[in-house]
Amino acid sequence: MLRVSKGGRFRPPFFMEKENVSKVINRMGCLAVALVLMMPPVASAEPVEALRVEYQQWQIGRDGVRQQMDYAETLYREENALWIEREIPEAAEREHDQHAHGGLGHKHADVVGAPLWIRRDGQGNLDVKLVDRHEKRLIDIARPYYGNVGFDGHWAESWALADPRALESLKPASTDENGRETYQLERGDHSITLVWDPTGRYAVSIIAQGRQGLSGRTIRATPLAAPDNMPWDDLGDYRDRDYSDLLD
Amino acid sequence: MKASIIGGALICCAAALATQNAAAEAKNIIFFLGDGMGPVTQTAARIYAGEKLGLEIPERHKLAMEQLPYAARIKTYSEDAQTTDSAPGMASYMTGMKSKNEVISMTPDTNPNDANGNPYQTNGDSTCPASGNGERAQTLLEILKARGYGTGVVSTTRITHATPATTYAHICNRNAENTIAAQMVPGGDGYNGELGDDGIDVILGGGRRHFLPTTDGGRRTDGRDLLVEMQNAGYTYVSTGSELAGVNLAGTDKLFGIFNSSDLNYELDRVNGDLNEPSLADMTSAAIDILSRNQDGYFLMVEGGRIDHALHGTNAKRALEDTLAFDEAIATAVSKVDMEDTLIVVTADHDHVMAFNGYSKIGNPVLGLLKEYRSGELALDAQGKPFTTLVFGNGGGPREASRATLTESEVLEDDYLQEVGVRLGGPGSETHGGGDIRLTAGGAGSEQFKGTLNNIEVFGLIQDAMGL
Repeated sequence: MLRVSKGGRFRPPFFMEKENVSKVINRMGCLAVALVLMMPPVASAEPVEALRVEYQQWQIGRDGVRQQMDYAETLYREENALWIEREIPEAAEREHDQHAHGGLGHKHADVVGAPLWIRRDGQGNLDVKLVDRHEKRLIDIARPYYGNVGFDGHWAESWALADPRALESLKPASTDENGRETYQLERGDHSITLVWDPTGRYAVSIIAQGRQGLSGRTIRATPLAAPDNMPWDDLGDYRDRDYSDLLD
Repeated sequence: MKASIIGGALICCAAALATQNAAAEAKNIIFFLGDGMGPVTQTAARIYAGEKLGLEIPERHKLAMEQLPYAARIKTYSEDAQTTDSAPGMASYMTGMKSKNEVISMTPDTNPNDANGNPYQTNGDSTCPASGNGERAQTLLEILKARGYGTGVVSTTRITHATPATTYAHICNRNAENTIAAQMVPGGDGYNGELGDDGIDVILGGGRRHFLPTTDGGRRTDGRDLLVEMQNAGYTYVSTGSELAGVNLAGTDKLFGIFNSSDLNYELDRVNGDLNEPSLADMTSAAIDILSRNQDGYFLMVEGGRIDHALHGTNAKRALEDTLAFDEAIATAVSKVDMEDTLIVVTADHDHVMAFNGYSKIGNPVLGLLKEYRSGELALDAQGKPFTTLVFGNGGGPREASRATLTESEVLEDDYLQEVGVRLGGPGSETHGGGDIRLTAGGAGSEQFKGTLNNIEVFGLIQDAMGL
C-alpha cells in the first residue's frame, strides 16, 4: 500500500510498488511519497549513527516560474530511536528568537523547526516528541497530530530514508566496491535512482527527475562521526508537555 | 386621526408587551458554543453532513443549529484585538464586557501580562497581582446561581480551558489552569465564592492534570488532589464514558466527570478508536437530566471545544467531524427540553481563517479536490495542479516548498492537512479570524436574537429572555 506523506519537514523517499505507479506519477510533481511499511528495518551490521541529509526539490510551473527548495537535517540513530534536527543558520535562528520572544500579546508556542525525537517499542508503537529547546519542554505528539509536526508516521522511511523491505524484491542495477547497491526505476514520466548502503543501513542518495524536465528531487545522505552523546541524553531537566499545550 | 394615533400606540404597546412577555418566558438557558466555528466551518459541516446522509444535493441539508428559527451576526473583536481569542470571546457573552485577549471574565482594564510582556502565570499557577489589575466581572452562571438556578458546564476541552473557565472563574491569564481548577472546588483554597456553598451542579469535560498533583501525574504544584476534594464536597465523580452511562442521574445532584488528562479526543478518533469517552451529546443529555429537576430553572453551557483545535492544525476533516458532534449535542438538547420554557442559543466565540475556495460543482465532496461546476473537471492552479475546496489563509500546514500534486484519496484521508496561504510554520499555528460569526437561537425568548450584534449584547438579551 502506498501512502503519501503529509508534511514537508522530513521527506521520506519515493520508492514505490508497481500497483501504485499511477498514483505515484501524480505525486511526482512534489516527489513526496513513501511506502507504508512499518516493519522493523532488517538488521545487519552496525548502522551509521549519525547522518547529514541534504534535500533539494525544484519544479517549473506552467507559468514558467522555477521554484527550488534546499534544506539539510541531521539524523541521530539507534536501533529504536531517531532524532531529526533541521539545520538552521545562526542568523536565522537569532532573527527568529528576537521575533518570537520580543513581543507582547497572545501567541502560540514557538517551536518552528524544533527537533523531533522518535522512539519505537518492541511492538512497533511509536513515541514521538517535539523538543522545545527554548522552553525546555518535551512535547508529546499523539498520532492525530503527527502531520502537524511534519512526521508521516513511517518509521522505516524516516530512520533509513528508504524502507529496506521495499528493496528486497528488487535487483540492483549495480553494486560498487563498497557494497552499495544502485537501483534504477522508471515510473511513468519519472526516473528514479536510489543508492542503498546495506552496511550503514541508509539510502545514500535518491534522485528523481521528470523526463520532461519540469521537476526533480534529490536526497543525499553523508555519514557523520558517531557523537559522544546522543542528543536525547541531555534532556534530563526538560518538562513533559503535550500537543494541547501548543494550542489556545 | 387621533383614534388612529391611539390605535397605533396600542398596537405599539401591545407589541412591546408581547416582546416583554416573550422575553420573560425562558426558565432555562442552554448556551452552545462551538469554539472557532466560523461561518465557513458551519457551511462545510452542513455539506459534509449531507454527504454522509447520502443526499443527492448535500448542500440542501440543514444542521440542527440551523433549524433554530432566529439568527444574528456577531461582532467578535476583543478589548485590545481585532481578532479575539477564546477567553474574551466567550467572556463577552458571559459577562457583557469586553476584555483583553487571554483574560478570563475580568474587567476591560485587566492585563494578562506584566509591563515587560511576561505572562502572569507560571506552569499553570497564577501570578496575577492581588490588586491593581482589574476586577472580577460577574458571569451569567454566577448571576443565575445566586437566584437558585441549576448550573452546568460541559466541554470537550479541559474544563479549565478558556471557554468553560469564563463561566465560573476569574483570572487575568487563561493559562493559569491550576488556579482556575481551584476556583471550582467548593470550600477549597481559592474557591470562587460566587458559586455558592455547593458550587456548580454538573461539570463534565477533560483536564484531569490540573486537578492532580505532580506526584500523581498531574500538574498541580501545591500537592492538592482536587478530584478527592470534589468528591468530599459531595460530587459523584466519573472518569470514563461507561461510568457516566452508569450514573443514576435521577438520584444524582452533583456530577463531576473528567474524562481525559487533557482535552477529550477528537470525535473522529473517539469513534474510530472506540474510546471510552462520552460524546458531547452524551454529556449534554446527562447534564440536562440532572439540571432539569431544578424547579427554578437552569443554566447549561456546552462547548464543542475541539473544532478550534482541529482548525488550528489545518485538519478540516476533524474540525467538521467535531462540528457534527457539536450539532448532535444540540439536536439532543432540542429533543429533550420543552422549547416553551427553554432558550437555546448556539454561537461561536470567533472565526478561523478557513476559506471556501473556487467554483466547485454542486455535490462535490466538500473535503475533496475542487471540480469545476461547468465541466466537472479538476480546477487547476497556475502550476497546473489541483487544489481543495477548503484551504486556510495561514497556518503551519504541510511544509513543502512547492505545492504537491494532490489526489482525491489523499485529501479525503483523516490526517490530511489543508494547504495554507501564509506559512507560519509552527504546528497548530493557524490563527483565529476576525470576521463576524453566526448565532442562532430557538425556544423561549429567542426572537430577540437577530440583526448584527456586538458579542457583549448577547449577555443582556439572554437576561431579557429570562426576565432577569
